[in-house]
Amino acid sequence: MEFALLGSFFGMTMIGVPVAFALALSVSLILITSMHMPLVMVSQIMYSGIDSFSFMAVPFFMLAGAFMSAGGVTSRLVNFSQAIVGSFTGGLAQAVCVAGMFFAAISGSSAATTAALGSTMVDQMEAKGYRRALATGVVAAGGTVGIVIPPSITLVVYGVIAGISIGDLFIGGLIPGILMGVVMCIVSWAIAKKEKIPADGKFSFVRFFNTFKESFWALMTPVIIIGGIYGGIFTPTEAAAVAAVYGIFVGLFIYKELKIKDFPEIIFKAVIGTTLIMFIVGAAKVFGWMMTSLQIPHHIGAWVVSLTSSPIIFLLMMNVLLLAIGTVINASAAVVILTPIFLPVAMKLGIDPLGFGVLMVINLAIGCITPPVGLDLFVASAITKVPLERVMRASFPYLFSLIATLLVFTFFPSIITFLPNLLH
Amino acid sequence: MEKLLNGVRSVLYWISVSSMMVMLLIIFFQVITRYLFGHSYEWSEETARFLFVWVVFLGSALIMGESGHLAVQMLPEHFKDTAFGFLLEIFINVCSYLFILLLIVQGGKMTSTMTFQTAPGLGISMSWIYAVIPFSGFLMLLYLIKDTIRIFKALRARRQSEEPMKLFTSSSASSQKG
Repeated sequence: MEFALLGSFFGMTMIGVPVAFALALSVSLILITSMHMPLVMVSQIMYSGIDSFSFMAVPFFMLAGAFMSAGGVTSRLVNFSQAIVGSFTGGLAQAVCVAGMFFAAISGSSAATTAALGSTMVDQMEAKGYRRALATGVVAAGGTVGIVIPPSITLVVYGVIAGISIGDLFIGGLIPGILMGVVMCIVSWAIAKKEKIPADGKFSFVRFFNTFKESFWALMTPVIIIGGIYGGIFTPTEAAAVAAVYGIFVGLFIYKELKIKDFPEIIFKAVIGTTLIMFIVGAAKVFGWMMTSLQIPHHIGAWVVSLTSSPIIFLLMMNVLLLAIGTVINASAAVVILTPIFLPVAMKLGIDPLGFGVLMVINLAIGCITPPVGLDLFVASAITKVPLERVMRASFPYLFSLIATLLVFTFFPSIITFLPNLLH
Repeated sequence: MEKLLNGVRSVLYWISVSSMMVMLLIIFFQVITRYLFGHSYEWSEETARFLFVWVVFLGSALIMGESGHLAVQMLPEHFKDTAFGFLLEIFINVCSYLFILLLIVQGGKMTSTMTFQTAPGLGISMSWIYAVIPFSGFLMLLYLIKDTIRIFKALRARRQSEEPMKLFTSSSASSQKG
């Protein structure tokens, strides 16, 4: 039965059946053939999986990001990033990485970050002597921190499923996300050094101050979200709602680039993005219920323990698996399906569930730029019209150094858990 | 069919967009009232949650007319325009019919048997909320029928064209066979 469930699900998914359909259908198959339970369980559990106050943070964070980028936040963050790192060698590429980090602190997804950066930065980089393929590769890599640096929709999803404080997860993602950004800046510096691309002007304190003032309101968003959650002022869902309303306010009245007539299209994008994730979340709840009834996580746990009792070996195995899965499937969808299987195993081996969750998300984020099918590579290539293979080659140095960073986190998980523990 | 779907799309579009906005405002004002008056209303969180469920289910119909539900596209893309590719598409289509049937029949059962259950905050019957499941299933069915028609039209056009259809490879130079 275990094999029938997992086999039919993976089989259907690999063939191209929508993930949510495959989840619900494989469970129905087991219910019909070998269990004496009514099929209505499927729709009931699916409904209860979606009907959750905590999950409402997903649409609200999407709205916040969408209103912010439509309200003129992107260009201001890019200007500010250029003022910070533009004067270094490879400054423009570094600015993409820094802007990626800032944008990640406002929106909750990688593809949104990549899309926002790609449309503004690639032409500018090409004009300053970067190869177009290189510029596209940098943009794809710069977006990866989108789901690691808080707020992160993927961490929200993990938090609800694993029953861990979303606030703690957000804090846990902060340091690894920043480190990933710094590593990418160093890689950009090295590439520019090798390709002899000059720095983009001198550092100017006036420019730094002016661009900071311009982007101040945007930079307040993460302060409101994280401060609000940690100060006990509101729940993550409420924080997301406040951030979205704040985004509307800033776009309409401060930057004055947001127009009421664009609202329906902006909101509609959030509707589609929310549905894409939440429909799978609902179906995955049904799948998780069936897996627990068949004791699949228990069996997998016993199997893993028979192979190794070392948490490090287990995490390294997870790294390979998640990188591969992250290339073909949306990170939130992967978290929804894999957490019920592997979190019990991780806990059996004494791995901290918070650290495990953040590590999983970092893994899936890097999967977004892992060939041959990384999602961010496709997004970036579609924006700049550079062939996929050339984007892949250009983002290779970033991919390798991010994987090296991931290994450091795997061996020293206290980098992730240190800050949340400190705040308790 | 085309006209019907366009109508469906614009109705769903406005319902989901306005539900999303109402949801956002409800939760935002819940935060405000809690700080100003020290309490929040029971109906507000419940209403927002129900709107959320409605948005997700209606969105699941809408999405079929946009980018489609999240799926691993590797094999269908790779075998596009081959006999095997059409077989895959038909298989995916059949699976989608089964899933939608599940939503309509089982969601319908939930709707008709849960009439006695009432939502604690709003005091309305839960049937009103559950009804979105078979309703969205029905809307998804419309989109799926359109997709089926598209597949068979493409298949017919492909068979009538000059170049013979390969089993596995779409490039004419290859000699691979299953």
